[in-house]
Amino acid sequence: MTAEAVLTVPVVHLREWWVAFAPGIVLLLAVITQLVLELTLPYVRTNRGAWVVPLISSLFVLWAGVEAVKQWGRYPTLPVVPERGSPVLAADNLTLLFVLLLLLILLMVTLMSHVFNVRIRLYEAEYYPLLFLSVFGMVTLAYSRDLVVTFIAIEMLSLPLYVLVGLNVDYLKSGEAALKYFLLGAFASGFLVMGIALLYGTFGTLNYQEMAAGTMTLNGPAFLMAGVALVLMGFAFKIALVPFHVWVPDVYQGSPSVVTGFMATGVKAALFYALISLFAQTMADYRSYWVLPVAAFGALTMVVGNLMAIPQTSLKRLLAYSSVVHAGYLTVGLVVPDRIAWGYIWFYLVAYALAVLGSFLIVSYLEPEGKGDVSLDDIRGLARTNPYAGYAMTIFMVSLAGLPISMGFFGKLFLFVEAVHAGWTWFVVLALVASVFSVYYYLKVIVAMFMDVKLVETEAYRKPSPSRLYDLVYLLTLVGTLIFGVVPGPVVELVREAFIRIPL
Amino acid sequence: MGADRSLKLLSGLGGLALVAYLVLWAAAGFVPERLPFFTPVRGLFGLLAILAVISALAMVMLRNPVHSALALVANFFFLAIIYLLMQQVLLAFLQVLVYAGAIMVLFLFVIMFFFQPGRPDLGSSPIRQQTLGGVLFALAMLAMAMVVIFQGASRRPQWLSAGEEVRSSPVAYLFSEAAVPRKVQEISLTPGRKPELQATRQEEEQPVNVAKAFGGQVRAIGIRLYTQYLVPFELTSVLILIAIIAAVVMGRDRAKKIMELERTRQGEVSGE
Repeated sequence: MTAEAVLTVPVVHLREWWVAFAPGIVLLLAVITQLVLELTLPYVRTNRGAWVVPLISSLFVLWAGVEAVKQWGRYPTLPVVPERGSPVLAADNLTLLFVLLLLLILLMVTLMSHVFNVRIRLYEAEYYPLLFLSVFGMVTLAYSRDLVVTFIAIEMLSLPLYVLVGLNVDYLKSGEAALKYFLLGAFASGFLVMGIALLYGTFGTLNYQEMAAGTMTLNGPAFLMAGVALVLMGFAFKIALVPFHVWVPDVYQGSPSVVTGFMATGVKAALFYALISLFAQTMADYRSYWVLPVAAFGALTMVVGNLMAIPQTSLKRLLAYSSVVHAGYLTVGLVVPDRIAWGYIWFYLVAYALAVLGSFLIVSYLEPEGKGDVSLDDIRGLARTNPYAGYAMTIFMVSLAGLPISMGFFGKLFLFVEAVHAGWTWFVVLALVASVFSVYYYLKVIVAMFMDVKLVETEAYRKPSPSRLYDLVYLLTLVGTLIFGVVPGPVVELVREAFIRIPL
Repeated sequence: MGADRSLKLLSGLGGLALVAYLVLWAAAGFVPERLPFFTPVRGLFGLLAILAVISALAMVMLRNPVHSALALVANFFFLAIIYLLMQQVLLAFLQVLVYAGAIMVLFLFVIMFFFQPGRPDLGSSPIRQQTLGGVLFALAMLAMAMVVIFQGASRRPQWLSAGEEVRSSPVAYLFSEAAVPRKVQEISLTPGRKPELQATRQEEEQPVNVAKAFGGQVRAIGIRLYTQYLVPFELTSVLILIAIIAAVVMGRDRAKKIMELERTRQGEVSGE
């Protein structure tokens, strides 16, 4: 044994983890707390004590949010080998914006789950831990600056979802949805790994910073093309771009409504940030390889998604196709080389998350016992029998359609203006035409609520809201959608401030 | 078009290809100048490649799921030996231990649970165009793999520093000059290329010490895992935690559990 036998193994101290990755660590602490609480306190497992865990969990989410805010402008990184110097985990301000959005979504979903779970008899003690672990995966994905971490994070966010989707025991479609989602998700992961291997073959490294700094030295353009295609397929499956959207309506319809709301917003936000940081930021020099495929995906998504959404009569399936279409609009921001457009993607996702979570909140408490879904027939005349829900739903639909006086309008406006400045006129025209068509099916919901006469009344129609926590989420989503729909200025300022300095 | 007929066709063609290959290899023993491809390493590689393809096709086409699983095990073993030929000892052992050993045993367990002796036929699929689509997709993947392999093989990796040998790439080793028989090489030798011959001779005189190579690979992977990939390595533990929790939730007898829970919950509430 010679000198090479002496090897110093680097140790990542917990403090380093904490400095670089505090929001994620807090989420893990929350998971441990939840598991211990459910195990040791029988009270939290009764109907009366069901509020304890979500309430404590929401405090943890707030704590994670505070930690994320503390990192603002400080660009924390977690390099392991100092001489390499390229971070494995890092956060610029845009990362933190996305992390905060994810935490907001998690907060609202946690508050919504409590009453809903009792109603659909979802008593699994592991519900909240799985939810939080999924968000931990999303946050890791946002911090990730290395393809291995990216892959592990995508698995971490998907695995809990496969289980959460199938938790609705009274609804046969729930198990079917879980199986479909799991099998297709496994395929998508396979593509993703293949693609990552080919990207490694191209760049000789898996680190984003080294990929961006280095040149495409190895193996030529076919490697890169194949790698980009496969990685893009893996991502497209998760965010439901059109050739890979087939699972969406079934899975969204089958899973418990609150989980559907979580999937439709959280997964999309996390994966879009991953797309931004991998393609738009890291592979900015290789735009010609990925821009056209992304645009083609987006264009196809807008057209097909809209066409499929029009004949839907189930509210959950309609929202599912709507989420497919919105993924298409978001790709418009992705192809713009200007980083402010990526900030507007975030803005759009905030608007989208508020509206979608709000509508799934209404769906979740309108759905008849044991049915798991709300059809357009079920909400006839809702505006008269339950004006709360009726008007709120109207506002959310208006926001999703992108009509004025809602945050969704400004989301589309900013995104499309940036794209036109960047010369993507055909894409924006297509998106505009698509969103005009989409107004039809959003209006269909509003018409059903306001114009039609009620056929059958269920008890849910007369209850304004089943719990205080529900009201809180109502308030958050409604006020957010409306206020930022009138004065988007503060949020836009936040986006602009995020880009004062980006190290890379 | 019965699946049985295509299966017969497969076994016939596969057997023919195998026999033809063995005849060629045997012939190469007599006239090595005419058939320079058949060095011991490459000859073995060709044999294993044919066997691997046959077993993979058999896995897809056999109608009895247990047979399919066994064909897949065979495929894993052939691949493992190919890895050995590439000097990737650790990879070969992992392939056998993890895939053939652990994962396939799970596969067989699942098949045994759901396998009904009365209905062995899983071959007929309800979707007509599935076969065609599958074949097209497989061809597309094959084309992509070919492009990638040939484009990759035509260039020398530049991340190797000057001192390192290209042979550290396993594929390069398999088709490297060292594997060419000395006789042929001496014939094709020109005076200008003398140093190369010396190099190959040295290489041949020092056969690879398997134990050292094995330890070296484990060491190299271990060092990478605990330095460059430490963060992903630690994050994997969370992933495993998630998988455990998810498996517990999925594996539980939910209907019974819910009845029980319902009772305790109702009891608690009415008791208040």
